[in-house]
Amino acid sequence: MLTGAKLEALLAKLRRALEERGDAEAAEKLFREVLAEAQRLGVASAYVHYVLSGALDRMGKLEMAFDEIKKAVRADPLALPVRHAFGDVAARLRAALADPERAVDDAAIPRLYTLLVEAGEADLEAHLAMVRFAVATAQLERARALAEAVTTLFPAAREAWEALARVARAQGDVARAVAADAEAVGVGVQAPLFGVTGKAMA
Amino acid sequence: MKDILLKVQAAQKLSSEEPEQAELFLRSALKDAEALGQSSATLHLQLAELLYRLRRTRQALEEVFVVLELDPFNLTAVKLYQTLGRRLRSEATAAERSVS
Repeated sequence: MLTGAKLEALLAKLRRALEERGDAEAAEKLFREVLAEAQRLGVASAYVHYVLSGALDRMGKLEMAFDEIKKAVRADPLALPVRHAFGDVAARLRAALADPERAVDDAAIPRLYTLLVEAGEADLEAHLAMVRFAVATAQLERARALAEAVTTLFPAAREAWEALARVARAQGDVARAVAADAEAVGVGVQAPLFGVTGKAMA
Repeated sequence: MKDILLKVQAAQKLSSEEPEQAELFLRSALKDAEALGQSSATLHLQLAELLYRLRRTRQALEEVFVVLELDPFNLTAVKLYQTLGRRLRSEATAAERSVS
């Protein structure tokens, strides 16, 4: 077990970081110093990554918070509080990516999208935001490949087919656009799950 | 991994009403994790907290030692270690008094 004056000094620094209320940047610096020292000592501290992630999240540094919480999960994958925090930060990241206020060609989109994809946390909205970005930045081939993949991943999502139709149309592929439009209309029709419509007959 | 997490969730749900059952789930989760070559400071800490509430101070302390071995920077474990130390001392003092 790691003991002694060095550990006490690091724990004191960690306490200072946690108690730091007014100066979030100073707290982050202290957390990072503790982490660097922990790494030097060969300790992967899920706890420090977890509390640093919380501090970064409160500061609005969402991408950095996500990075730290991923490290915390890696260090202790069975820790439920860490896993819950991971889910929360990932959800906020998805919301940030799909924010309707965000310009479709915002340079942050591919970065946020990559973070989510690498963590296996991208949802339909995230993929569609990336498709829109690729179209807006004239990367039509990339948009097409992604849109095709999204319709495979989410075949029952009308928005996915509509996105594919838009991309195909932008590429001049009218046949694919029409086919995708037809799929979009098809998935929009909901068949009743139970019962036969019409008058019941004995 | 999923099965282990289910056991941990069950332990968490049971910890206030049925702490003994919660302990069984946690120990089983720890055993499964060990079989997979996984060690979890948080699981040991959860068990230590449970044992502390059950007033099994020495066993709780053993678990806290494992936590601090895995993650010496876990301040929750450091705090519990100090609390357990105080409790052990006061228990020892009470035992001495009753003997004298």
